[in-house]
Amino acid sequence: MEPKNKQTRSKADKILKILKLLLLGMLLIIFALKYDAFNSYLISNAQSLTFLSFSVWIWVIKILSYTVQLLIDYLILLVLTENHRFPTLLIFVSLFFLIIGFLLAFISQKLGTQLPITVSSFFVKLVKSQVLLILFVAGYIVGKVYKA
Amino acid sequence: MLKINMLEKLKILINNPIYRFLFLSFVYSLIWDILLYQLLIPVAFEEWVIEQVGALSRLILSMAYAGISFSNDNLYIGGILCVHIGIPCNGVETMGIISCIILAFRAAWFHKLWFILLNYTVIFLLNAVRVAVLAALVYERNQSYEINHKYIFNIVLYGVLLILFALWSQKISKQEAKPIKS
Repeated sequence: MEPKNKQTRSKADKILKILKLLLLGMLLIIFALKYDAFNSYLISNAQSLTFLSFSVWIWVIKILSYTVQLLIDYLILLVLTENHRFPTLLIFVSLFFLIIGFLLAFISQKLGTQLPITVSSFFVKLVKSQVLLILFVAGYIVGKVYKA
Repeated sequence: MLKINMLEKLKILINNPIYRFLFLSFVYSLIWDILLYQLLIPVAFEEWVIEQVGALSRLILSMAYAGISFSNDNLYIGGILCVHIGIPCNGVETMGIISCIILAFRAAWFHKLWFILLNYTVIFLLNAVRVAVLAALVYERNQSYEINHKYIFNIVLYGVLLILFALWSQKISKQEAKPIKS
C-alpha cells in the first residue's frame, strides 16, 4: 500500500509542478507586456525631468530592467527546482557577468577600442536573452539525471 | 592552510557534475558566440538558412492561403508584406546554444552528434512554423503579433528543446550505466 501511495503522491507533485510552471508562465507574459509599456513610458518621460540628468535616468531604467529580468529568472528556476540554492547561484553568476560586461564596455569606451565590444555584449546578452537561465535549467536536468 | 582549503573546495566543485556541466557549457557558449558565430559563420550561410526557412513557411501557409510569395527575405500573403526574416530570426544562434549544452554533457560523441542534428531539425521546423504563424497573424490583423514574436515562441522553442534534452540525457545515462556483458 505504501509504495502505491508514494507513487500517487509523486505523480500529483509532478502535475502540481507543471501547473505552477504554466501559471507562472502566464503571469510572466502578462507582466512582461505591461512592463514593456511601463519601460517605454519611463523612457519617453525621461527628457522632462529636471532634477535628474538624462544619462543618469537612462542608467536607472537600465538597472530596473535588469533587476526585473533577474527576478523573473529567479522565479522560473525557483518553481522548477523548488530549492532556493540554485536560483540564488544564478543571480550571483548573472550579476558577476553583468558587472564584467559593463566594465568591459566602460573600458572600451574610455580607450576608444572596438575589440571588447563583442565580448562585453556577450556577457550582457547572457542575462538579457536568458541564455544563462537556459544553461541553469539544463544544469538542473543534468543534476537530476546524475542523481537518478 | 587556507590555500589548501580553497584548492580542495575547487576540486570538489570541478568534480561535481552539475558545476562541471555549467562551467563547460558556459565556456562553449563563449567560444561559440565570440569566435565561431562572429568570425566563422559567413553571412551567405545565414542568408541560405533564411531562404530555407522562408521556403518552408511559404509551403505551410499555402495550405491555408492563396498568393503566397517569398522574396528578399520577405514573406507576402496576397501581395501584402507580412514578415521580414532577419539574421537574428533564422535560428542559427539557438542552434549554437543548444549545441553547447549537448557538448557539455558527458556522453559518447556519436550520441552527441545525432542529437545535435535532431535539435537543428527541430529548431528549423519550429522556426518555419513560427514565421508562418506570425505572417498569418499580421495578415489577419491580429493584435497578438508582439507577444507571440517576443515571448510565446521562445518559451515553446526552449521548452521543447529542454524536454528533448531531459529525455535524451536520461536515456544516454541509463545506457552508459548498463554493465558490459563479458
